[in-house]
Amino acid sequence: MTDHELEGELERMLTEWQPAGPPPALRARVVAAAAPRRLWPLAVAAAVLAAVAVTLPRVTDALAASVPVGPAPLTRAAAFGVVAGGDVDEAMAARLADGVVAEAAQRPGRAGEAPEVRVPVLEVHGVGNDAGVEERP
Amino acid sequence: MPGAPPDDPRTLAGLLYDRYGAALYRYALMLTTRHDVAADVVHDVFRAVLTSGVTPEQAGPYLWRAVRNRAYSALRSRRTRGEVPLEPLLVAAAPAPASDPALRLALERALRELPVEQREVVHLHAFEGRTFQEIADAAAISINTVAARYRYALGHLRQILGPVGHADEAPRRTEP
Repeated sequence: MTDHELEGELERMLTEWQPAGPPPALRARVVAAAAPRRLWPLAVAAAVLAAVAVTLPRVTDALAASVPVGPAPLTRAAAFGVVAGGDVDEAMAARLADGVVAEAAQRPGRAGEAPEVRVPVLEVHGVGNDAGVEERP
Repeated sequence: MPGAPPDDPRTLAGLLYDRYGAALYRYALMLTTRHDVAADVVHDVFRAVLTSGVTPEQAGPYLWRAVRNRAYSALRSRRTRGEVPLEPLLVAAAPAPASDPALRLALERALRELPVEQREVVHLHAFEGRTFQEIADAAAISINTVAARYRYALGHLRQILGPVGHADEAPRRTEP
């Protein structure tokens, strides 16, 4: 047989068969999927979302307020206070730092050398609001 | 499908399914070679068409295109891989003495081994009776491509099946 005849015979054989059809349950599945959607579940879901959106910020604020706040992070001025002698508050340490920098800028240095920076040693007297800080020469 | 479309979407779904459902399922089955995947494809396509506002007059071409796209997507997404189910891919076209089980199994195996593009052309031309031009228009490819795929498919089937009419012998392959 020629190729053409063989192909004709194969085509004839193919026509004796056909792909299998759908299962009977598929029609019911398709029709069921076309049923109109119920709107009340969507409305309920929207109401729940709205309630959560309103109450969630209040809950988070209340939780945040109930959490104890730890010590503030050490600032550069406070770190200077610790270096300068220890127990001074941040505002005092900042003023001391400004003074040291200003004094160093006014002090004449040798040509080509950076001015000497003298860090004062602090003595803290008393406790609480009466605490005083004296600079020791 | 003349006249106004039915108001009830379930009625419309039933009408569309009765008209196109079986043919679309066979198309999806031949593309994917899996009954479970073909059923999912047809179900998803009908659900999509019924929510898209497509009129019943437009539904025919839309459904065919959508089944084709979803079946190819299923093939790409590995949904059709794994163990091959035992459900038959083919049934006898008529209750005739031609329904030789050995021939059916050999033909099914040969069809499964075809590339999907060739299997698609065989299905649409040999089983659905579409012309090459209609297939080319539907798949947006040239008629020469369709004809070439069909020729390659028949050649491949001949190689897999062996001599036609002797399919009760063990099918042989000539390609490595």
